[in-house]
Amino acid sequence: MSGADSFIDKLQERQQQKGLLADRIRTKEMGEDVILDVDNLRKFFDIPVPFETTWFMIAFVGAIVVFAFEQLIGLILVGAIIVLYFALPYIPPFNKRPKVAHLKAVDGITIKIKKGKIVGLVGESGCGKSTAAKTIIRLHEPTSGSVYFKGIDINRLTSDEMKEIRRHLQIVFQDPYASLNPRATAHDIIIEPFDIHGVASGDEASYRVLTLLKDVGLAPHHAYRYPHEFSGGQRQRLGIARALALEPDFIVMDEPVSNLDVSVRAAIIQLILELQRKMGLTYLFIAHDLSLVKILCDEVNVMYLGRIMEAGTSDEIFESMMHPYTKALISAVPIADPTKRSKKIFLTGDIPTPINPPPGCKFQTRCPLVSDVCRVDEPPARWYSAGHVAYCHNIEGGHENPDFFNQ
Amino acid sequence: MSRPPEDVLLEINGLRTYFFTEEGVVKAIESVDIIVYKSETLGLVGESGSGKSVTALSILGIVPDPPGKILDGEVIFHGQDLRKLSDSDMRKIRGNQIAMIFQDPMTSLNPVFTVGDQISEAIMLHQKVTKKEAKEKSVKIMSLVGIPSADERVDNYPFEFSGGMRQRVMIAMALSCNPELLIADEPSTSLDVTIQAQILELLKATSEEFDMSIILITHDMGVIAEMCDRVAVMYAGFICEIGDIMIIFKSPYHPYTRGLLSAIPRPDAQREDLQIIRGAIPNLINPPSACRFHPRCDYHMLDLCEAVLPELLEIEPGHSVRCHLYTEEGKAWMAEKGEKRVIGAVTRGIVG
Ligand SMILES: Nc1ncnc2c1ncn2[C@@H]1O[C@H](COP(=O)(O)OP(=O)(O)OP(=O)(O)O)[C@@H](O)[C@H]1O
Ligand SMILES: Nc1ncnc2c1ncn2[C@@H]1O[C@H](COP(=O)(O)OP(=O)(O)O)[C@@H](O)[C@H]1O
Ligand code: SF4
Ligand code: SF4
Ligand SMILES: [Mg+2]
Ligand SMILES: [Mg+2]
Repeated sequence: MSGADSFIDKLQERQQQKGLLADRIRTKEMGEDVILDVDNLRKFFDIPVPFETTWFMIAFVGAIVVFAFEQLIGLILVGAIIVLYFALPYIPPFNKRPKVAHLKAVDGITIKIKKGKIVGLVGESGCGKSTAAKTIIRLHEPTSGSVYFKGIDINRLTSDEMKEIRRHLQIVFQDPYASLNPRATAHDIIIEPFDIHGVASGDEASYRVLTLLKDVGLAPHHAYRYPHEFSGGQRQRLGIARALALEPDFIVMDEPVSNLDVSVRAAIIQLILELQRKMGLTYLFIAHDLSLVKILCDEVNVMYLGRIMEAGTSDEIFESMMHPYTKALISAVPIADPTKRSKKIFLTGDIPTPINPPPGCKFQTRCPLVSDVCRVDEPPARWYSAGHVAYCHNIEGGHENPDFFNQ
Repeated sequence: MSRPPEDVLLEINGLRTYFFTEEGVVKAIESVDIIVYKSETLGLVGESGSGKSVTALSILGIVPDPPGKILDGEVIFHGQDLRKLSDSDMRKIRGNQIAMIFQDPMTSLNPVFTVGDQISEAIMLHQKVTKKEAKEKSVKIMSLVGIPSADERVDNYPFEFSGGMRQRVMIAMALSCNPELLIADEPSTSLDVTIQAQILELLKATSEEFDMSIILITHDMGVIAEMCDRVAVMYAGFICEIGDIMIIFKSPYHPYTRGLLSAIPRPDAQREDLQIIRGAIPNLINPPSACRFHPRCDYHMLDLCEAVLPELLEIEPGHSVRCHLYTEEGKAWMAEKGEKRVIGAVTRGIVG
């Protein structure tokens, strides 16, 4: 795809002229082929806070009672209360109350994704994995922070420019049924991105649809079936074919096999690996099944309540993890070997709500090692190898600067 | 290791359950044969649609009818065949001696009653206690299953609990009458691993404390390995292999068990080690003949496996397999064709 590459070159040039490419130069200097550089990314959702209604309700009921005895006074009271109820949010000092709260789904994550790698993102449900992934490929607008794709700050692109870049950044969802148009045939579903981006049409497009179907292990006669006429595994193949249509560089796999049976799961995983080998793809792989992440991913990021707790190679995370949360999470994974019944670390309680996350370390409410400093200060990064970082006040060893390992 | 007959708590023989639907007869369970011993945990594992839940419903006699019907078989609990009991006798056993927790805790709790009311009701259904005593007992059980400040939370509604806590409430309800047998249908499938570990630990601890047997239904071989004493592997309405956990994981005899075990990421596996079981679970309105696994089986013996149903054969004490690789017919077939297809001896199991 030399056309696309020259477009990327052009964008790089343009951003460099605007002085935006400092980070790009830095990552080049690192000597690594970093395809995506996610820098302190945040995504908050605004959720409405209902106006405090309790005492209004009490007054309201009181007024109704009065109304029952004294027609006119009661009526005036009820009217006044209703007016007040709607007007109060605009009258000082009541107007200072926030009308929305921030749900801090992703609260400052930094990830470097190298070309050709499978990078895992794990954590409990609701910790912000999907939001992080969608914000990385700009399906959500970030609240703050940057994402550099091949050095280009994608959040500064115009929508036309973004449309071009979008081709390189694709996503496969957990539930293919919800993400595929139920009234379109497999053929129409796969051909849609060709139409949108005007890369192919007519016979050529149809030919490419058939090739894609074959690539993902479906047959030509599947082209005219509707999503509901496929099995779960076949639907996921269809979702993958669509993501592949524009020959992307990077695909987010958001729990692509979580809804599938073990045997089908293995088949889809093999497909995902085979495509990666063949096309040199880079994946961000989100999964619940940590034993799968262990064998599949080159690098793993452990997330908790919108934050990365620890990151490193798969071996570092699964064999020599440092962070108390990683330890608890991994010890909880059932091991398919009855001779290895392990001792578990049991976390008490549930993951707190991201609307009011605790200050200091986000893991403090459940951490077995918590101390006073954790309740006040955000834990600093400590590095255990050039790529292995953990954020915790109370673990031994490590270095403050990753450059220590680069000398 | 088979245990003496007096240790048997539940014995299911030749259970057959069909669903008579508009599209046709769903032959969900063709032949299920299982023994559950006292105070053991038996795993029931298989792909979705293999009939695990229907087996559970059949044991309790709560298969939705219509369209479901148990056509054949015995369910012997404490020496009596539950299928021969009257509805009212069966109701006494259900919830009292045999309790069940369901796959989805939200659909099995009533949203408009407090959890305390629901646990109390379960208690009062089977025990002669006053409302007040039942509520006190509810609080006690709720704290037993690890619900913090149970005396307050007893008045909460189900939606006020998280998924893990709801599953604890379900377990509290199931335990409220000290059942001898607990059937847990995917009790942790929808939960996070951290919460799953808590729930499984809770099940393990209570089964020891109350000397309770558990039938643990799951499709997760990891959960089976962590929890169970014995395992029954189910495929398309048949038990294909049943035996001691160590035996099944170390040297699985049935091709399907073997496939299931090599399709999961094992502790020290590499990417390349993940194997596929080709094909998919069949439509049970028109299931494959004889051995229902034959269209997916690498060991399929032509003219035998799809023609003659292999019997469930006891290979060694407490370890049974339903596959022609081990039957007389199968051995004759191999001798005649001069083909040797042994898997029990050469298999590369998970253990060791
Ligand atoms: N559009 C939205 N508006 C408001 N809140 C949202 C929105 N999308 C996600 N959230 C919230 O953000 C948090 C993170 O959600 P996210 O879907 O990223 O979690 P996840 O880690 O992918 O979880 P799971 O494992 O269940 O898929 C959750 O508390 C969720 O409820
Ligand atoms: N109420 C029902 N009506 C019709 N078919 C049913 C019903 N319940 C279950 N079945 C069928 O019985 C088979 C076994 O189902 P089930 O026991 O739920 O599988 P598992 O629990 O192993 O996933 C499936 O083919 C399923 O579609
Ligand atoms: S910083 Fe404190 S609370 Fe956070 S993980 Fe480390 S010890 Fe636990
Ligand atoms: S009976 Fe035949 S087809 Fe069935 S599992 Fe055994 S070898 Fe395979
Ligand atoms: Mg998600
Ligand atoms: Mg089920």
